[in-house]
Amino acid sequence: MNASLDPPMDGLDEMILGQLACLFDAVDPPPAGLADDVLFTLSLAALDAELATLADASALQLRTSAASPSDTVTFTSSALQLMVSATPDGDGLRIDGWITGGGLRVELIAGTTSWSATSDVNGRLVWHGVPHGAIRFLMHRDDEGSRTVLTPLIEL
Amino acid sequence: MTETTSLVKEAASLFSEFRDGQRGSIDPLVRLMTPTMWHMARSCGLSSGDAEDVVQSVWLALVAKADTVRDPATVVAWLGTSVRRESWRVSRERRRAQLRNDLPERPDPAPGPAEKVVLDETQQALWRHLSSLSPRCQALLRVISRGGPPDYAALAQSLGIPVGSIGPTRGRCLVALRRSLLNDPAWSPS
Repeated sequence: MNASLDPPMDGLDEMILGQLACLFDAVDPPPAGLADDVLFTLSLAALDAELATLADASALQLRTSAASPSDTVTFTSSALQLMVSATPDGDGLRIDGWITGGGLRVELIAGTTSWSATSDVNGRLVWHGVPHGAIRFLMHRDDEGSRTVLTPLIEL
Repeated sequence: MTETTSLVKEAASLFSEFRDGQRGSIDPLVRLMTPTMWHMARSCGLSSGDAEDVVQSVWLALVAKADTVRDPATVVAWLGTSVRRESWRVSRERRRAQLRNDLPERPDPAPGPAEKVVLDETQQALWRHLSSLSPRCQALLRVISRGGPPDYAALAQSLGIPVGSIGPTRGRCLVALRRSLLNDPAWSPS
């Protein structure tokens, strides 16, 4: 290409560049797990899931203080509705959910970890010991061929 | 073959496999390119969190638009250009939000003072001399330090420097850095 126009690089130049790479990796390294997070996001996108919306956009944060233990957030999609609320549970949180249907598998996803639960006949779901942080839900429909539903992230 | 040419080639061949239906090839491609994309986003002045978001959304875009990348050999340039455009968009938005809310300018989110991490004497000297270069030089050297002599077409696109002048620019930046390092007894080649 235009390599002939380049000032020649000698061993010292390459050594300086090598030191620079180490320096930036020491001073400002990419976050550990960034590549894993990217791959996980890509795998969710590959599901071609329908994206649920927050019924109340103002409820982006579920408050979990003792004063308001019963705040709930509702997600809606074309076929399913999921309502969740959080209460303190030891060091973590207990998440109660209700979904429009029994026997539906719902995954609670935090970072690259997911916990699966299946709704009972009344559509009830529960997760214990969920760590604080950003979570989202992935709902699997029971009928073959229908799209899974992914919720936006909420902060707990 | 230089390291960066091989990075570009390796990325191209992984992306090519991915497009031909070997979806698993995205895994090594993401691991190969993500650190470089992170350093690019940070050299555009983004905060750590924003840089992460930009890297995520560029990967999502690549997968969604994989078929529109005409030549797999240009995938590194595509990623670099997208990171730069997206980084600029995000920093424009941030600035606008600051103006709207009348917030004071945020402190420079570029790599923090080197005291935060334990650097040896040579690294401290390097950091000091690098900081005295122009921001463009710092960004260019940061990105090309990821792998020796770069693929200029890819790099020129991703840094927005005309391809014909990237060699001379690199030369000027590197010569300036090298000269000041050689005059500093605190720095030693290792």
